[in-house]
Amino acid sequence: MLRFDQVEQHFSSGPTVRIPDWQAARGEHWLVLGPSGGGKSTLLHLAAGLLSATTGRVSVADVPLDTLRGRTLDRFRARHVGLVFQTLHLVEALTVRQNLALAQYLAGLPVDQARISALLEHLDLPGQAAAYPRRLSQGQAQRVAIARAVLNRPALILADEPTSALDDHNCERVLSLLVDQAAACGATLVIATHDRRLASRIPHRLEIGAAA
Amino acid sequence: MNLATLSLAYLRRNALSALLNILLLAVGIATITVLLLFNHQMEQRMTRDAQGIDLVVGSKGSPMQLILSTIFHLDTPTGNIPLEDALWVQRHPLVSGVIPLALGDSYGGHRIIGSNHAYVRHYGGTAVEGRLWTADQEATIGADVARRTGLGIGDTFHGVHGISDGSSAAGGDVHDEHPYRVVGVLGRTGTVLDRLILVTVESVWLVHGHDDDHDNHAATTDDGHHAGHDHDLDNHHDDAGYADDRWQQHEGEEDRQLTALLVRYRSPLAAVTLPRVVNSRNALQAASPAFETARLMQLMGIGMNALRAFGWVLVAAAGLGVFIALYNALKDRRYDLALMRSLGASRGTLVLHVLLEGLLLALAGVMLGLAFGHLGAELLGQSLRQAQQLEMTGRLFIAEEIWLILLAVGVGLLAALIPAWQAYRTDIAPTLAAR
Repeated sequence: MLRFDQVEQHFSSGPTVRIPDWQAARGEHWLVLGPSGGGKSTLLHLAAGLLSATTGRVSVADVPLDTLRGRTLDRFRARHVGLVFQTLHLVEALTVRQNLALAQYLAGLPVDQARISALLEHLDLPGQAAAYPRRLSQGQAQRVAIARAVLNRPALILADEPTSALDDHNCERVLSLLVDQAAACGATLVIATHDRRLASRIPHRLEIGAAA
Repeated sequence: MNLATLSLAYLRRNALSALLNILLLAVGIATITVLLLFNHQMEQRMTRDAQGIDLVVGSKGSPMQLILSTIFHLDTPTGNIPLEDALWVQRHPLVSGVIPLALGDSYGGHRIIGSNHAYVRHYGGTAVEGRLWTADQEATIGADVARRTGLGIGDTFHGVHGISDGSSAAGGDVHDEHPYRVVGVLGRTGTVLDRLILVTVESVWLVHGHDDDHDNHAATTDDGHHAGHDHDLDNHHDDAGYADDRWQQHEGEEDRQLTALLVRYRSPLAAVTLPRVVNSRNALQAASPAFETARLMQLMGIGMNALRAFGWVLVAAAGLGVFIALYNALKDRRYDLALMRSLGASRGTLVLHVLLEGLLLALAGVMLGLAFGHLGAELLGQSLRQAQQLEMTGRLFIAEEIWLILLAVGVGLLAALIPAWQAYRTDIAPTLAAR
C-alpha cells in the first residue's frame, strides 16, 4: 500500500532526511516514532505527495508518486490520501459542514450531504454542522479534522502528531476514532508522533531519526 | 460547494473591508454612469431638436446664443430681425423653406412661440386633445406645459413679458389685455416642442402693440404666393384652412419683426454660400445648428472629461483597494491555500478562487454603482425638470454601460492578478510545516 525505496530528502537549509526502506500493507496501522526534527513530518509529506523525494521512490497503492505530476498528483492525493494535521487547519471562513464539503469538492467528487451528516453524527458532532471552527473546542475541531480526512474513504490516512496536545482522555478518544475510521475505510493508517502513549494501541512501529 | 461559495465565504469573513471597496468602486462607477447618461441624453435631445434644420437666421450676436435660444430654447435671443429681411431669406433661391419664430413672452416659465404649423410638423407633433392653433390668441401647448401648468382646452392665460425660466412672478409685465385661449394639447414628442406654448406670429405682434388687420382671418392667404419656391415648410394649408405663410402677408408694414428663421437648404451647395450671403446683410446673422451644437458639446466635453477622469480615478482607487485587501487577506490565508492544495486543489483552482474574489467584488461594485448612477440620474433629471431645462431620466440603459461593466470587471481581475499569482506559487509542505 505504502512503500519507501531508498528515499532521501535534501533541504537547502537543514539536515538531509533519510527514510529507511519500508512498506505498509493495506489496512495496517503504523506508528512513526522519532525525535522532533527527526523527519516524521517529512515522511508524511512524502507519502502524501506534498514533497517530491530528492532520491528514491515513494509509492502509494502501487503507484510511484514521482510518475504523477500537477493536476494528476493533486487529484490522486485527494482521492487516496486523508490527512490529519497537528494544527488541524480547518478553514475558518467555512462552517463545519462546508469544511467537509470542501474536501469532497476539491477531490472532484459530488458533495454527499448524507455522508457528511452521518459522519458528523458518528463523531458526536451533529449539532456543530453550521458552526464555524472558532466556535469549536479543541476536541471538536480535532474530530472535524478526522472526519475530513476519512470523508472520501481514502486508502491511506496520515496523521501528524494528532494527540500531542491532548490529555489522556482525549488522546484515547482521538486515537480510537482514527483507528475505527481507518478500519471502517479499510485504510492504512500511519501516525507520526513522539507521543509514546500510542505505542500500546498501534501494532507496527517505524523509528526514524535525522542524519547529517 | 463550489468556488463561488468559497470566495463569497471569504468575502463575508472580511465583510467590512469588502463593503468599503465595493462602495468606493460603486461611487466611481456611479459618477461615470451619471455622466454617460447625461451626455447621451443631451446629445440625443440636441440632435433631435436640431435635426432637419440647416441654418438659423437671427440678429447679429453670438451664434451659439442664437442656436441655444431658437432651437433649444435655453438662452435669451440675440434680438429681432425686420420682417423684410426675413422675407428676403425666405425668398432666396438657395432656401427650400423656413419656419418663422417670434419670441418675447412666457407663461409659467414656458416660452410662448409665435410660429406656424410647419414648426409642429417638423418635430412630428400632433394634437392629442383639441387642435392646432389657427386664429390669433389661440394657443396649442406642449405635453410638459399641460402637465406642469395644468392648463387644458378652453383655459385662458396671460403671457408675461420676457422669457425667464422662472415663475411668472419672476418675469416682466403681464399682458393683461391679450389673453390666450388653449385650443389644443400636443402629444409628447421628446423634443423641445413638449415645453413650448405655440401661437400665431401675429399673436405675438398683437400682444406687443401691433394691431393686426388679419386677426382671426385664418384662411385669407393666397396659396403659391412665391412662385418658384418650394413651400414644404412654410406654405401648408391644414383642414381648418390655416395657412403657414400668414406671417408673410404683413410685408411692407413697419416695425414687424421676427426673432429668427429656421432654414432648410434647397441643396447642399447652399451650405457654402448662404451663411456668407446672410452674414453680409447688416441686420442678419446665420448660425449652423450642427456646428454650434458640436462646439457646445466640445466645450461641455472639457468639464465632462474632467468629471469622467475623476470617476475613473475613483475606480482605479477602488481597484487598488481590492488589490490591497486581497493581498493582505492572502497573507493571512496562505495556510488555507496550502490546505486546499493538500485536499486536492490544483494551482489553477487556487488562481481561479482568488480571481473570483476580485471578480465578485468588482461585480458587486459595478452593479451597486450602476444602481446609484441611474438613481442619481433620475434625481438629477427630476431636478432639471423642475428647472424646466433638460429632460433626463435614469430609467434608460445605454450601450456604453456594458463597456463600463467590462472595464470594472477588468479592474477587479487586474487587482486580483498578483494575489492570484501568489496563490499559484503556494508551496504546500513548507507552509503547512511553518504553522
